[in-house]
Amino acid sequence: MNLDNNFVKFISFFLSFLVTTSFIALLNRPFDNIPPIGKLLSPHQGFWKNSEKEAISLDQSIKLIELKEAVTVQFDELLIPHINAKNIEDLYMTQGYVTAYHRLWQMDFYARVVMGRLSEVVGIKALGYDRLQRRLGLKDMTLKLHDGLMKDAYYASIISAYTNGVNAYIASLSRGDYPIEFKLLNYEPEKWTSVKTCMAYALLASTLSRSEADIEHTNFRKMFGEDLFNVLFPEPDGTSAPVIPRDTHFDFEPMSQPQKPEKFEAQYIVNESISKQNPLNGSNNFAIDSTKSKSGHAILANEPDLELTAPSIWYASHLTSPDINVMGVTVPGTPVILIGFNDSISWGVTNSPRDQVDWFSVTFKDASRKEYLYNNQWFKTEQILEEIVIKNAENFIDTIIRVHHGPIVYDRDYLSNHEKVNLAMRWIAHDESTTFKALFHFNKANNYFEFVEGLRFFSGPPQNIIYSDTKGNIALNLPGKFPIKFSGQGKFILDGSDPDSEWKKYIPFDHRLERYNHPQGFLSSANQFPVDRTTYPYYVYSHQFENYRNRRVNDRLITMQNIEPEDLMSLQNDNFNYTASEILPYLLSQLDTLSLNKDQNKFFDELQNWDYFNQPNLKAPTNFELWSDILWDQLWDEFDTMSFAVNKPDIYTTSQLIISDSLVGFSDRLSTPEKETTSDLINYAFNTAVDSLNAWSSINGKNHSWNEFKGTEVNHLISHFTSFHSKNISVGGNHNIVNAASKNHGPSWRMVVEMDPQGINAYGVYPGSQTGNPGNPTYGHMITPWAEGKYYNLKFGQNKLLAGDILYEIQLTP
Amino acid sequence: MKFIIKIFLMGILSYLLPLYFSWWSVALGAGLISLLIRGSNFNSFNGGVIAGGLVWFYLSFTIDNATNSLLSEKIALLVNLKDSIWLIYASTLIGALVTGFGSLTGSLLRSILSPKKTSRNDYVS
Repeated sequence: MNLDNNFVKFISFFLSFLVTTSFIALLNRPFDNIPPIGKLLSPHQGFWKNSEKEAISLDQSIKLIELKEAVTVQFDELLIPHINAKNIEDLYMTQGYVTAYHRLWQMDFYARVVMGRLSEVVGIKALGYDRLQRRLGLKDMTLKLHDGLMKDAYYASIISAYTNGVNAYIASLSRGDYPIEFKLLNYEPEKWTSVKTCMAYALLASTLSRSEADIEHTNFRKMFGEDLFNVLFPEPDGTSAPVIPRDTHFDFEPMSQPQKPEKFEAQYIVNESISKQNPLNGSNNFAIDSTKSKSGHAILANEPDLELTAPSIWYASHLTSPDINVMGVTVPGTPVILIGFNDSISWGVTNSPRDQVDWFSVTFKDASRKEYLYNNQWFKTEQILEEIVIKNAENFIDTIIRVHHGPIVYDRDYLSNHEKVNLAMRWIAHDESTTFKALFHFNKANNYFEFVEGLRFFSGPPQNIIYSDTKGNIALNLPGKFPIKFSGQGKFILDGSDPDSEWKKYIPFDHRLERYNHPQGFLSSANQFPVDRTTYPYYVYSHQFENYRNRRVNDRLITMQNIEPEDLMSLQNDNFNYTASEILPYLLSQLDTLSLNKDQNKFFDELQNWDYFNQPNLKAPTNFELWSDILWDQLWDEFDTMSFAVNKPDIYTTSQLIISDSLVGFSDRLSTPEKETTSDLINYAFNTAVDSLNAWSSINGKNHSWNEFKGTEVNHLISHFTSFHSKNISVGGNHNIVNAASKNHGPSWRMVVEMDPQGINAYGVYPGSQTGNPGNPTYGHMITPWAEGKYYNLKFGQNKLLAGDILYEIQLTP
Repeated sequence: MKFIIKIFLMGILSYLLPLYFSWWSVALGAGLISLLIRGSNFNSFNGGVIAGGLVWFYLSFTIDNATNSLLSEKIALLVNLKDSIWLIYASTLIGALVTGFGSLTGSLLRSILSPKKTSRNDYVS
């Protein structure tokens, strides 16, 4: 009896224990993409802890033992930290600390992007992406950059200090303090490293300097011949509003151009090519000198356009120590200001499309791939095993072969087209970069001479770097590492066994594209062709260039006088649709207007009465976008039937071909037996556009004003975190428009700086917020002002941060 | 009275322990209390449910209230819930059950370890 009783007691305990532990285990484990429910819903450690009542929740007094002296950080109302340190190491350590406070998860994410380690936290769906990043060599680039910088004691101390600052912040966190993304993806922040502090270069180079079309061009030329290729993919001559004004003289003795080797025709067609940067990005920058300015001070404006993401790619800060006083934006994880200003100078960047990647066809001796052919000899290859850790799956090992050109990206394991193709990538970004040093020089430069000293270190990605100073000077420079190419080198796949196909010398720094001041009173850039070909002795090429925004900016700046900062803000937000202004009159003239029905008439009238401005509340921009998109699709429908990688002609070339009625047979629609003329096609596209607009209206149940139709969004970096996105932002503009806000791309930072020697007046805004936390009351708070074209006073110079403007202040002490 | 004291003590531990240990340490805290303070299994479970549920409800509710459901609405959308209030209910339920089961397990362990026979009175204390 007693024994039985004890037995029951024991069994009861055991069962209860089992139920309790199983229940906890169930709630503590993830299921595929669902994070542990118990942990996530715990008010101590779950998502509740990321709900913030106040904009800033840092302690006002923080112990950071590695500091040498006390540091003060004042946050302004935008949550921009104004860091005041007594020495350079303390300054960057604190920058690391506060950046991690706002953006730790994003920093971790970017580091994983660069290192090809996303699969570790998001699972197998990122494997393809990780493999590409590793094949491109982003990790190796970062290591090389890091090792180079760490050899220099000054830069090593900055990088170490920043790294320590990030780690001090991570160490201060308890489990409940981790950013919400860590909790939702169910992983923990790992230690920050000095290598990760160097990641931004590879990240930006991959976004900005990897665009090329060698494979697509090679395919097209092989199938349709060089003559048609030249019609559909012409090289610009640079006579239409280039970056460097056409009256600029280059009076140096040019280096000799390499001999053009015999034409190389790649043997095989490549079916699919690697993903590249989005061509819709449309940055611009411009500066006016004292003659154009109402106040007599130079004014500089910059608007780099990128994919619109949350958290924003940019983080703003103001860094002050005895030998530096700089403000601007940088990529979180990076201890230097990328775009900004100090007491004396300001600078900004737009991407300069220059062909920085060439592909070399490589022949292996045999299937072991241990030797490859070069200059009629067999040379040894190098083999690298890249192990990729994947969440909830076996590790993946990718074998990457390297030859002296660079890594073989396309091979039998990757997009090889039935194991036939081996393509090695030669990318300037693979060479050791010193761009970090250039940026540190910009941050501290007092005048143009010191700025140019910094430019010497700028190795890419190629940028149109605009400059202005408090003495009223303006300048535009295109520094970087550019191979001296024979005409046409790198437009098509090159012969990897031929030494004459390779890059041998680089354009000397003093032969770079540069313009210092100009009688017209302004300089500008907008991703267009950099220079009039007839004036510059070196071959310049890229497969795509802007042809509209540059002309609009220059048209406006030529007529504008007595310019104030507000005028340049208006120009940054200019919605003039240059494309429409050139092609729409022609399209309308081709319409058979007598046979239009009621809907078609309305559609037509809206376009007829349009002034070509893509204002958010207008309907005509929607009509034009629909009509031109359908026209473009139908015009190049021949390309859709091609099973291999190929590009369609760009908007500018297409418009020129339509207006000049020289479509060389492409106006025929493949889906019909008739042979359509250009005019037939325009009418067909018009009718289809009206039908699809009606369909859109009935599905969405709203009017087709441009903002509704375009639906600009700022999406979180993790695409399925849909409630962290901002949708349907009411903003005008579009691609190829100065205000280049399309659906997912747009001005990622707008900055205008008036270079008053008595104290700089700076203004800025970006579509996001300093905080990356969706649970913070300020999350995304600048998006609406950004969309409305509003700017904030940046607290610097004449508008410097006063006691009343300080939102929050912290002290960090050793 | 003992019941109230137990709830109170379990509540304190449910509030404090996860500040330093894992989120499920609430079960350990409640189990410890039920191991040390005598009570029926039924009441131990109920006490844990009430203590854990109250603490998790109180914390999630006050956070949600103070922040105007800013984040909980976003999380609710992510998991297809119409109203963020369901997240407070879910948190309360998890806190209640984990603490309740922990408490029950502690009570059952006590009954093995303690030779004294459970009196009928314990069921009504």
